Amino acid sequence: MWLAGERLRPTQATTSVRIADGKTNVIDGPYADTKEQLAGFYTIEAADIDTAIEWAARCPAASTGTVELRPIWEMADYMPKQ
Amino acid sequence: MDSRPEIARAAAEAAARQSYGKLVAWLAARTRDVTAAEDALADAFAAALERWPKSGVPEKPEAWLLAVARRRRVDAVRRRLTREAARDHLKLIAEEMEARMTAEELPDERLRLMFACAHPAIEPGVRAPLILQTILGFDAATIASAFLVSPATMSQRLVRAKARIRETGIPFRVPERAELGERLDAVLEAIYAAFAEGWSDPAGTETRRRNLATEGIWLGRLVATLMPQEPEALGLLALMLHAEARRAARRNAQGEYVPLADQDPAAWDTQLIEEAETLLVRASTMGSVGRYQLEAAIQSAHVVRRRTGAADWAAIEQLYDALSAMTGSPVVAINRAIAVAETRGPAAGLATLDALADDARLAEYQPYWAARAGLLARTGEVEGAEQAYQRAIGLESDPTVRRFLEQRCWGLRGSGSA
Repeated sequence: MWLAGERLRPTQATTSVRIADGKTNVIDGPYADTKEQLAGFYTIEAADIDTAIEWAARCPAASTGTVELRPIWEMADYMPKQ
Repeated sequence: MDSRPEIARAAAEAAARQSYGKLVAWLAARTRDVTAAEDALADAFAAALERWPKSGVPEKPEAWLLAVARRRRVDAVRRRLTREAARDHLKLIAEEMEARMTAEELPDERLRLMFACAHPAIEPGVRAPLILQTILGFDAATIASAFLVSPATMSQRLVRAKARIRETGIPFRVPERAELGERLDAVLEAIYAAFAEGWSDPAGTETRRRNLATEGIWLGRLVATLMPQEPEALGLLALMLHAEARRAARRNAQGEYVPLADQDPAAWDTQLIEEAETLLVRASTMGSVGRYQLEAAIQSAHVVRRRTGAADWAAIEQLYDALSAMTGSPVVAINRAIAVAETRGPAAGLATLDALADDARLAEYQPYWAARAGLLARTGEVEGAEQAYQRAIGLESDPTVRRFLEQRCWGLRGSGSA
């Protein structure tokens, strides 16, 4: 029984968000420490990366670890352009 | 004689870059596809750079570029070479823009493009090159040579950054008040990085790097014009103009390095200094002090020497105090120590410098050792001064500055110990 699945864009399109001293830090790349693991995911829809960063910063995990933003390939990306 | 065509050529090139940047920004802001916007206009821009210096700048430069871009596209379609995205872009221009372009000016969206290029999700090191390419139309090879990296590396980094803008959904907008300060800092930092890259050339031999300083000022003027209510934008422009005003004075007739304290104020560019002072005064009425205003104010306190015969060292020390509290930078702390040496004597300056000695970053930092050497010499500690000069000489890569430090070091034994 298939539940959910998405194709992620490559790591070059990844942005990391972390909260330190109440400040939102944005890093231009994936979370590099390979000893850490992917601990969960959310799927959200956002108009642009600033909105996505805002949501990531509200996630409790951003204060204890790092939230990675990974854009997915949407159906529209597969459609031929008019 | 031959400077006149040179000036006309530079003016035509500036006009071409201005129109090109406006069109790229306008298109990219609508599609987030910077690469396609550049592709759509590349041929027309090349034609403008070649033709305008001879023919003069057309009356409606943006409309000229657009017309050429569309004509070239027709050729390209015949050859089946056009890129799909570029075609989309030209269709967009045709539909949305042509009607309004006959009547009014194209809206200037370059500020929004600059905020996209300096977005926190873009690697800090590529922000300045990205702005130089998208706003001013410089090719990757020219930017690479100014930033001393290989053209292939620079080109790859620019391509990646533009893909990131599109794929991560970086918005083309001027941020809201709440986050504007931090985001504007990133834009100003990128512009200052371009300027500093062009400025850090005391030998003055590399034309491309000198041009980069000019472009930095050009971008600074653009931001100051588009955001006249932002005191830090004015502060940055004032700072760059102050530095530029003293460019020629950094070398004597023999091409040797001349430090600020030994420069002849008559060799400074009065017009640039006056412009910087006006900007700084205007910024100071806006009630918000920042890093660039403080740095520009320090330059201002140095150049009062042209009227009073001496720099205002008390003001310089206070300004470095404020800057040090704001940035925590060890480089600022060194300059503060030099100011303390002027206001309270070399021994006090040396004590201030000693307090920094634990900072590991300074062990490899030439200005720290040069400052130390200078202050030790003034307190009569010739041997310590010599050792510090040797460290400074070993760390300096610029030959003219190294020669200057060597001369100071040799001078210690000659007349020093008195």
